[in-house]
Amino acid sequence: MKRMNENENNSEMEPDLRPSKQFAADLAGLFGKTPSVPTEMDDAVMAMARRRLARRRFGRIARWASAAAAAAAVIMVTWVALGPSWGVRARYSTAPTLDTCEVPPETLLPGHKDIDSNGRVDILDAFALARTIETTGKQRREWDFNGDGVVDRQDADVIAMAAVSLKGGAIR
Amino acid sequence: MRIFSTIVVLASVLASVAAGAQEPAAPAVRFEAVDVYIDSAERPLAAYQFEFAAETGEIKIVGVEGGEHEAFKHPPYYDPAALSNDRIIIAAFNTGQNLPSGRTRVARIHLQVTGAVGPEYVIIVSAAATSDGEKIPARGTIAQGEGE
Repeated sequence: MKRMNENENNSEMEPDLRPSKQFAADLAGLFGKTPSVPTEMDDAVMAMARRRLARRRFGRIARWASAAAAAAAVIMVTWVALGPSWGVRARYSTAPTLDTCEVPPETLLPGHKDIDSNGRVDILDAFALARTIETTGKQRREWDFNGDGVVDRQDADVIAMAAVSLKGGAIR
Repeated sequence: MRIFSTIVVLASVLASVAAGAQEPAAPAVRFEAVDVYIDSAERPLAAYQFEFAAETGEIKIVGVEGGEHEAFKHPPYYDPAALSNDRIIIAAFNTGQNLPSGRTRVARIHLQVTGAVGPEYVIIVSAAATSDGEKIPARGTIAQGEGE
């Protein structure tokens, strides 16, 4: 009696969800066979999938390219910020050697204005530098006396101004 | 009242005249120019440097201009500190081929001279060269130029 009561309680809690025989037969009639998909439809779906995949791949490449461009920009900014010394190296020819140098090598020290090495800085040093630049077109980083990255007449002017400085001279 | 005013005005005028007479006379100031010549003989002059100063007298250098030849027409190099000084170093060069030879005026120096004593000038040519950079002996002379 007690078991019977338990069965009744179970049937009350879980309703019977099994379809009727008629309903099952109708469903089998509707979906029993696998529908055939045309080849064109298959190809179209595959092509669409490939396009989407390609788009994703392009997006990934674009992201990498953006990161690389940003890194290059950072390097460029650092290069410019580090000042003219880097630029000077880039613009001048190779370091002077004894056989390629027209002026004494000791004059190639930075800031050394005694171009003709006669022990004093005078207008002839400026003249020698101006002549060398104009006649041979040679550029030496050490001759960039005004530090603008280019060796030109203005660097000869710097030597000339040093030559006429009142700190030198023979009178008094 | 009118007489009193006239007396006061006359007294003030006389007082100012008397005060002016007691002040020492200001030293005479005049301006003059000195032309500087360099003689390179028959060699073409491409570069020069000289020093100029007054040995006696009280002068102030007030300006510098270039010379007569096209090669040295532009103002030469000099230390700006030399202005208002009594000593100056002047130099110039030209890398062209149109160069003067012989005696040529390379610069004109404008001076302010103070006092009655006429200054005596000295010039020392410290460098001169031809167009190929060869050092040459050159003589420097000065002459009274056209003042301002």
